[in-house]
Amino acid sequence: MNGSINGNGTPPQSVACPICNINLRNLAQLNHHLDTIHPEEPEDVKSAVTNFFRSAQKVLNPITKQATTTFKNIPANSSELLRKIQDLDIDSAAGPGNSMAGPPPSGGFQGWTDPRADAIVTKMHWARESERDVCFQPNCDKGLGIRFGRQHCRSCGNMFCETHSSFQIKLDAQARHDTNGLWCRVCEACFVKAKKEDDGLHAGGVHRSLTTDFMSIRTKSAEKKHLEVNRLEKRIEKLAQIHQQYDSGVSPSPVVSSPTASYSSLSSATGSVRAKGLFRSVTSRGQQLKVAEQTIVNWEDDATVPACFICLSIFNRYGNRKHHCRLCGRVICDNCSTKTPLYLSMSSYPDGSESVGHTRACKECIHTAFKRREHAADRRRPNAVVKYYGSLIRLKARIDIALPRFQEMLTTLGQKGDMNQTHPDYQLASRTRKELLDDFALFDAISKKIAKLPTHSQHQKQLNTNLYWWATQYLQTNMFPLSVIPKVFGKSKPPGNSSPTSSSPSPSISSPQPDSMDNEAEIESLAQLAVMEDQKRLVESYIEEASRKRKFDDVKSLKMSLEELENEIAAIRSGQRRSL
Amino acid sequence: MNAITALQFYIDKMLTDTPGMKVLLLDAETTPIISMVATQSHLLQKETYLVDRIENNSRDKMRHLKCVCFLRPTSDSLEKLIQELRDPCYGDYYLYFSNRIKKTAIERLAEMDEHEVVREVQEFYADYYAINPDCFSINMDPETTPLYGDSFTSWDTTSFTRTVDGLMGLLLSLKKKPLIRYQKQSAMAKRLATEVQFQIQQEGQLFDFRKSDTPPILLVLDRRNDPVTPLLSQWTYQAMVHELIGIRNGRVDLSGVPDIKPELKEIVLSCDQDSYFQKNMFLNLGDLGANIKSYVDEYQTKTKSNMNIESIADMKRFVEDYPEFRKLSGNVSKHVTLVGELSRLVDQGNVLEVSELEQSLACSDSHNNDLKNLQRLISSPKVSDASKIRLVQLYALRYEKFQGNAVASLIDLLYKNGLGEREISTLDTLMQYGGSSQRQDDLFSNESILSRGRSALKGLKGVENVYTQHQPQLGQILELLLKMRLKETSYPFVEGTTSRDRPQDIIVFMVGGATFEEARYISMLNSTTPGARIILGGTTIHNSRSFMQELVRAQRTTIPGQGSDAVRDRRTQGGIQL
Repeated sequence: MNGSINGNGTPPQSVACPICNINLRNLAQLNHHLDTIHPEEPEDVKSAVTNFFRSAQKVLNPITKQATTTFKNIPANSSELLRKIQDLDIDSAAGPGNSMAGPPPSGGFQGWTDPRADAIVTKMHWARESERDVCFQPNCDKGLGIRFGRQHCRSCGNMFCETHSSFQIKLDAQARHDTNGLWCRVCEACFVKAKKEDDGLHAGGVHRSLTTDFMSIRTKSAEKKHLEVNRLEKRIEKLAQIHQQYDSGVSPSPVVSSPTASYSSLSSATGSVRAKGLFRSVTSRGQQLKVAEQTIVNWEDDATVPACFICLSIFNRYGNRKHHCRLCGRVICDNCSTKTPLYLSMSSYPDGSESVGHTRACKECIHTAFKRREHAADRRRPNAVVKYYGSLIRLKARIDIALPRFQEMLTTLGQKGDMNQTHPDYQLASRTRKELLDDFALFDAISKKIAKLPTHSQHQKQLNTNLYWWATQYLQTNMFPLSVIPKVFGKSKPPGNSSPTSSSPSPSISSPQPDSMDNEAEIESLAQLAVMEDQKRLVESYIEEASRKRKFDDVKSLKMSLEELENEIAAIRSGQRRSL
Repeated sequence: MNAITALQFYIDKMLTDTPGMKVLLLDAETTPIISMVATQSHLLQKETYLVDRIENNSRDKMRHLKCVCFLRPTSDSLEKLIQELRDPCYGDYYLYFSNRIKKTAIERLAEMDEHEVVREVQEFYADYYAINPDCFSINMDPETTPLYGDSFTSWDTTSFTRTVDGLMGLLLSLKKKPLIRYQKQSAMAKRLATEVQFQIQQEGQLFDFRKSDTPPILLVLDRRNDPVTPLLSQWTYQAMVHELIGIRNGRVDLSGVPDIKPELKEIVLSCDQDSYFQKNMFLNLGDLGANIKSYVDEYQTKTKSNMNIESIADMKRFVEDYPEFRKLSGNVSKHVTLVGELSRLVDQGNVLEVSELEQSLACSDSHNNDLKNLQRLISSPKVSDASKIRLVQLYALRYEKFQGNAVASLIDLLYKNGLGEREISTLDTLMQYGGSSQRQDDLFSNESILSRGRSALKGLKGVENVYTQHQPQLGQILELLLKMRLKETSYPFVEGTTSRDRPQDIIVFMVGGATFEEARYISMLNSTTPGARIILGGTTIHNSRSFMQELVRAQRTTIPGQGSDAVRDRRTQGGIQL
């Protein structure tokens, strides 16, 4: 065997076992491996053990329920027998495509280590045993020994008790997780880590993007649509010109001028209601207009069309009359067509252009001709909610940056313990705090504005209330920690907000500057007042809600706190006045 | 391997990938899928300020909003989406489909997107309903979606596609490419297994995952093999609520409870959002009662400390805690009401006594004793009709092969006690569905001397709790599977695949509906077996009512009238015997 390896000339860093193809680090390890794993020809082992089990099975047979099985039946059963033997992991190498990963023995699975792994997987990193080892698992203080067992996690090398090392993953020779390795006993932490790798769920489940497919199909069909829209828009503009000329009395060739009437007829149906005197002129004018309109698009021949192409209703002489769409020329029923405004310039539609007349068009043409510009214009239109929301988000971004920074400042301040209020760090902190409070106040104000925005539909109202609710929740979670902070400040500061700093813990470090101190306290008290008032408002809203829900216990305690708040506010106010 | 987080990942991703103010547009199926794993405030945090249904035609035009559409690619939803795209209510559209969408459908959508509002089209495979981290459902309502086709052995076409889609969604969301095994005797299980395997091969690119230590196993089982589990009364919290009241899409309808407060008419029971429920969902009623008491005590001390506000610091603390406190108070009253209602129903239906007999029928071999108890309970006016029928059903299943069983006389007794033809005919339906000839495994461990011996040994160990001694058959199957002793002859791999490795990740799917008893069992198994990660799923989650309903419906649509005839036959036979 050794000769064949030397002949291979494999680099000394990694050698493959010629029998099972496991990568080993050096020749010494390979030698060891060959001695322990392949001491004999594998075929011999297999046949020997199989024979042993066959004979054992024969002996056992009479005892089990297969007592009736005669000797003759055994050959027929031999395939099943073989499987049984394989289940017992005697010749795992014989399993198809399972060069390394044989199944563990039936029964004891938990924490089972492949016997071959002992020789292959490195033990260099194992923790050294001592007299008083404890299970490495957090929250487990079992002493390792005979009672609770002593097992090394093959992966991390730490020692565990029997129960906390009963997981298994596959490891390679370097004791790294490798799905082509051998089953090894590991601890829970290593198992969880390996499974996380296996799952690959850090990026979540599978998803597939069809956006590019979608876009390419859309671009293809969009070109056609654009052409269609442009064509219809052109026609509208031309029709508008015709109508304008008629309305202003100028009639284009080839139509002869007609008496002016500020009335543009659409159909003879409306015309017939008119007074008899006007009838002739109106209809003739209508006729002329009709002729002019027909120059824009070829009208479909009435006679060939039995039914409306949209709703498929059959035309008849009196009930369901035929009309022509002025934009596409197709025959259409009255229900599926409407009066359409005409514009001289579609590019400025729908803002800033006025219609110069109306004509009949089918639903489809109207949809194609107008919807796109309407949609685009709608999106451009400024919206109050969007504007407010934008500033809310900007404010939130600012707060989200400033808040952790401020908290960091606080912890450093707290660590330093006694700190003079004139210290630049302290002043910076209080300035940040002031800014934060201002931002919160602004945030609150804007969210209230959103809630009060006029709405003309249920959905908009819901949107605004949801926005308001979200803003309130944000304030609740983020502003309250801030309102606790005065306590921290208070430690290095006299309890009375505006009283002079006589009890300041370290006046000797730097001479106090009364002016700035007063100012400082002033700002401080103002800020506190703001917080108090905020809280008061909040408590009031709680009371309202609680009493609505008839939770009088809550109301009681809430009212007490409200009273306290009011007292406190009053106290601060009076203090302020005094200091002023 | 967590069904809930897998879905939450998808939701978070689709909402965070689209920054800005937005509306979430859902359809009839995705609404419950989302609502079971996400809260309103969670959606708000993701800047989703409106949630609406695509079926709703009266939506306002709000072009300043972006719209995230999460839809199942059914023909209905696609039709609605096309209408929406023709006349869009919102500014930009981000389309997410909960499963694989056909190429033709994409083409059609692209052609209809004339305003070019669609910005994104993606498939996010959140196409199943996550109930627990290790339990999911396809949520097929026996009322609206029949599971069975012509008989108990064939699928209804729609529910078959839905189930395949659901399973594909689960596999993709968990990134598992499993080897599939199925129950050999069940034609439905085989068809499902083969189809899933086929689809996995079809979607080769999607299933290109990192190899794992040992291939995951998808085990497809059939409810027919174990018709007993869904018939038993339950005593653990989640299972009990479902059995006695009913959990529907994570919600419990309490409007039938006497003197219920309006805000508690419908409550949400989610182990993801309610940590108290999460802790206690698998406890039995006795332990639960004790826990509820301590929960109430905790609440009361909090109330007291809130009443006791002396300093400004106390007050500040109170104001800070108040939202949390309010949540707690809501939760306390929810669980107190629910547990109160459960114990009321238990008293009312005499469930303790009934359950004891049920367990004895299901777990031990004592015919004479059981029969005596059964006759007594049938004659008792305190036991509900449904329970009486269920007891006889269990008896019939249990002693079907027993010489001299008294099914006929019990049916007579049922008639005498005022039960109708229709109710009694369900007995026959059940026997047709899950009689011993339909079952593959030895459900009651009484078919061979060996298994009898084993069950006798089990009996020797003694039982901890008479009411929860039953162990679903699923347990045995999984135990064998984990030990690699599950026979390939009765649970074969889908053709062309095999593995000789011990499985670590297992997905069990129960055709015909799983139960919460099994869900609990799986959860326990997960926590006690190191290295095993098991997820249970079903076409639905059954309680005894919905289980029988489904069977009766299938029977009525396929073989009308036959059931009651058979019962009558047996009755006359029984008369002769008597």
